Amino acid sequence: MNFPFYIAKRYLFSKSSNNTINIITSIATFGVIIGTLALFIVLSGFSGLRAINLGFLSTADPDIKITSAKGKSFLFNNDIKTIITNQEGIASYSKIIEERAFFEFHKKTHIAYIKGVDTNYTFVNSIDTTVYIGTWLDTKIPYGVIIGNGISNTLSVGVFDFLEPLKIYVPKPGKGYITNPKKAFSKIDTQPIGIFALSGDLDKKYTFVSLKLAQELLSYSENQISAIEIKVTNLKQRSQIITALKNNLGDTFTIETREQLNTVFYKMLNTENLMSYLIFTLILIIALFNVIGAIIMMILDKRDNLKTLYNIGASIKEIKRVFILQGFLLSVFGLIIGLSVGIILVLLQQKYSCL
Amino acid sequence: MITQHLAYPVELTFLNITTVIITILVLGFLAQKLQVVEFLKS
Repeated sequence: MNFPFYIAKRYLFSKSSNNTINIITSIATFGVIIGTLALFIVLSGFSGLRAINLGFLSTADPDIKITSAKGKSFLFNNDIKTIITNQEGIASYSKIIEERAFFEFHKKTHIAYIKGVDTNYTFVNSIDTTVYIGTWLDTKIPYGVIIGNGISNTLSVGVFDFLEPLKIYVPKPGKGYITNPKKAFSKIDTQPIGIFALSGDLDKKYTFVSLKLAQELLSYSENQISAIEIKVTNLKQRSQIITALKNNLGDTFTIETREQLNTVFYKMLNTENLMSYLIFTLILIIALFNVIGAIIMMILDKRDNLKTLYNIGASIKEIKRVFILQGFLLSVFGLIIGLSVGIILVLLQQKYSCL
Repeated sequence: MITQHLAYPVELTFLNITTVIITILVLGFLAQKLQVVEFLKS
């Protein structure tokens, strides 16, 4: 065995004759254990939060979204349909209309977005799984809408209220000044048939209606839509699919991934993760200064032993290595214990959800 | 759905384990190097 390593190991595990040195070494080791444990638990917590948030995003946003580069809407003609249908790697696609609208129920008002979706929408996004009261859109109920939990709370509206409809207003398309406000808006009376709950923001933002109803409200033609949402069979092939779609569709369309649709959110997640890592690394640096202090005390304690080691032939370099290795072993010992406890705690939380 | 009863989400990932190991090893090595250079010099 390597001589400095052998001596370092003996110094680490043998008790010093001076009890103060033992206490200082124990405190330093405990500091490294706690620092390691804290860093690991915080990183695991952030990974969990990231996973849960990305789960929400994947429920609400598609793998790929195609919108018009100019204007709010475009015509979904046979050329576009052929390009998307012939593209390999696309599991399903859905036609979407998205527009800001004004909601009124029993004189309570709210501004949110209507999202007109076709029957394929549930194959692209699994938002229907978040409906906790009522049902998802049904072709048998043409004026049925699905509202978010936040909108339901703001307007005090429930489902299947046959006495009062939920009124949705949008400005009529056109140019010039509005002379009569009563004629400036298109209005439809709808019937909430389901309430979804996903996240605070989305619950206040969206009301899902059928594509036909959205086209009727916005005075769109039969093929006029504002976006196409796509689900891919394999996420690893997504960039190739986007390149192929860009080549075939041309510059008139903008193609974005889920990450591009939520750029700010992803940046925020990464920044939070980095900041918490840096803060806990600082705590670890302080803990390691404790280790330095403990080793210095040990050097002072072992001064006589060092003279003996020097006299029996150990070089100064080897004696230095003894203490470098001892401090390093102490850090590694703290790392192994702290990480093991951290992994056990994370596994317990995953299995039993103690907290 | 987020409810009051939702358990704190945690995820065990290889990346986190590697990050902690590398951080401790690098900081531990640097600390010992600094200590020996500064203290044993005197």
